[in-house]
Amino acid sequence: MIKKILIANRGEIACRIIKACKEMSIGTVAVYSEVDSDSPHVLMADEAIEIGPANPSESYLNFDKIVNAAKDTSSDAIHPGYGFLSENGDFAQYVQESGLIFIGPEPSTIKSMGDKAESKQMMIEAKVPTIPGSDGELTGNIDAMAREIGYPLMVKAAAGGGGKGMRVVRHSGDLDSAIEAAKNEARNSFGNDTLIIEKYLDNPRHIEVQILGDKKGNLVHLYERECSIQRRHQKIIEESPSPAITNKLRNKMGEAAVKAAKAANYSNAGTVEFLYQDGEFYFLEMNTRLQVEHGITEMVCGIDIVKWQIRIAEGETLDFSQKDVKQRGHAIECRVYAEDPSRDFLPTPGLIRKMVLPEGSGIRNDVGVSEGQEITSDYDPLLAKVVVWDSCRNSAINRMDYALSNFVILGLITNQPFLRDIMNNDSFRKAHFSTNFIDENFQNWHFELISPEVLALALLGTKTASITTKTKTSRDPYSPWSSRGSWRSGL
Amino acid sequence: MDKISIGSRSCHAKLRRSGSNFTLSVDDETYEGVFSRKNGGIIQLNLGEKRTMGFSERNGNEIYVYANGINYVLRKESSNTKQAAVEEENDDIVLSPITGKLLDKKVEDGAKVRKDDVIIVLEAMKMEHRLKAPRDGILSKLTVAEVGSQIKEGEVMFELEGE
Repeated sequence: MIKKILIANRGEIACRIIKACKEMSIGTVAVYSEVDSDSPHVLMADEAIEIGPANPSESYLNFDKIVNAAKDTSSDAIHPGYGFLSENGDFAQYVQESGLIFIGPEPSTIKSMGDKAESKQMMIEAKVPTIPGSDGELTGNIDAMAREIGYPLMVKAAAGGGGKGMRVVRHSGDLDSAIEAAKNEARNSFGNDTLIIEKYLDNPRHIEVQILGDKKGNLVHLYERECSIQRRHQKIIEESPSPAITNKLRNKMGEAAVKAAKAANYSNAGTVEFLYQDGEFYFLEMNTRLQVEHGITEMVCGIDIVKWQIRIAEGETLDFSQKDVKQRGHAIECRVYAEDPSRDFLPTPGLIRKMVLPEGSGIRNDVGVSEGQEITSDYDPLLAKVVVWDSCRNSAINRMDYALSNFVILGLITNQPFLRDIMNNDSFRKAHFSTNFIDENFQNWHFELISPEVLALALLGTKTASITTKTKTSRDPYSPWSSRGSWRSGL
Repeated sequence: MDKISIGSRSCHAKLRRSGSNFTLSVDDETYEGVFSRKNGGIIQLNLGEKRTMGFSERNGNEIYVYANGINYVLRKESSNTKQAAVEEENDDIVLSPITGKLLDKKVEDGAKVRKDDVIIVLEAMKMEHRLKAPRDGILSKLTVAEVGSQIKEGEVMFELEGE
């Protein structure tokens, strides 16, 4: 039995996990960095342990500090949330070796799914569809291979990343020159000119399937989430079910996800991500953790994923099977970020001077910040997730627009107006979109002109702030706000 | 007129009020309206036929407004002088426009001051900033920070009471 859980995370996801624990009468331990001493997750937990400076590598990413805090508080288990250490197989192993329960899959599963090449090979063997391409180094008759894969295709550096050494080829006549150019770039950027080719998807959708498995090998899927609305390759709006696929395809994707999870010997909650285009879907990667957008699945399936994560970690068996899992109605999530959509989604730190959350039936707010809190540049700028449910997609969109319009957050620039514009966008309403949606529709987005009412309010407003700010922001060179470090933010 | 901007867009506006009535000038347009303050900091606005409920709060030269389902961060610059953000009209509360050192407190709390009297002297980046009384009144809540100490942008420097 798990009697006490340490949550190795912060922000809304730490609060979400603490809530589940409280409902299950499980004790909770929060850990926090110096700048987070007044954060909601710290105030919510039964116990709270400070684990160091703002810099994640000295606090939220530090194995020893977290495990020691768990031991010092006699915790039985550690829940990693998402981001930070959640997909670090070495950490999971360290937790287990320290005699604690890691709430997540086995360390070996995390490690093999974290390796892109290894996981793709595993999926090919399990007959889960993957993006067609060369399995290794480009050799032999490249032209024939390219014809078999089909155009357009992508030539990219095996060692690549960041768009370097990548070329989209649309016609066979351009193949040789693209290979030559990619080779040169790869050699200059990575010191390695090994190339791979694979099918290029022009207008893919990102559709993922939630899975849940116990330690006895029972695996179910909780259907899909449509996550195509992304900016800077990070999701901002998700919905379930996906408006793009038929029931037949939905079941086929669910079965493929279960097959993928079986191949990875998966237990606990996980997500199989697919790219979808023209009726075909391809395995992208498997996320071996709780997903940011898990809430929409909970809304449509009526299953609390976090509670099941804990039960599974305790060794409990799933008390339902695939046929018991039904999607009901439609759920949407909008991620409210401290960022400026008119300036390339630049993070916008600041002090939350006023916050009023939307209320009403079918509205759920997963929030990890509070009024009076300073949002520093130390961590991911996610402020809150607004999740709504209604009987059909159109009603759910209307409800989301209502919820967003009643979300008051003053003191810093957020993407709230931008999210509302998406809710009222024609292509979004018609579900005509791919992962290119924001680039195609909101390239030059601006805040709307200031109306006379807004100006009058501005000039009538209270002339001071009753809240004084704390100067705790560190100038951390590893801050995710200035650069993407080795840990993943915004997942 | 104050220049009010959001992102790259801006306009010039001025608001004169008399009791609960106000006249708003925006560029070349003029609007008449009525307002009242409700519980919880809500401001009700009637502008022509339209009723708007909103929130508004100001800190330094930033104004935060919630109205018509949208949250705004506006910037306000007075068009008179460069340091005008410091010398706002009709202000009862004066905030530090900068983060810097408190050089001098010219007047004691409770003193009667006249418009444009220098109350506070600040220094930042080797530049002096003089905070003046925006109108005649009685000085209250003068900052308790000691001369020589650090002041943060947005910190309350003093308030004015009475007329």
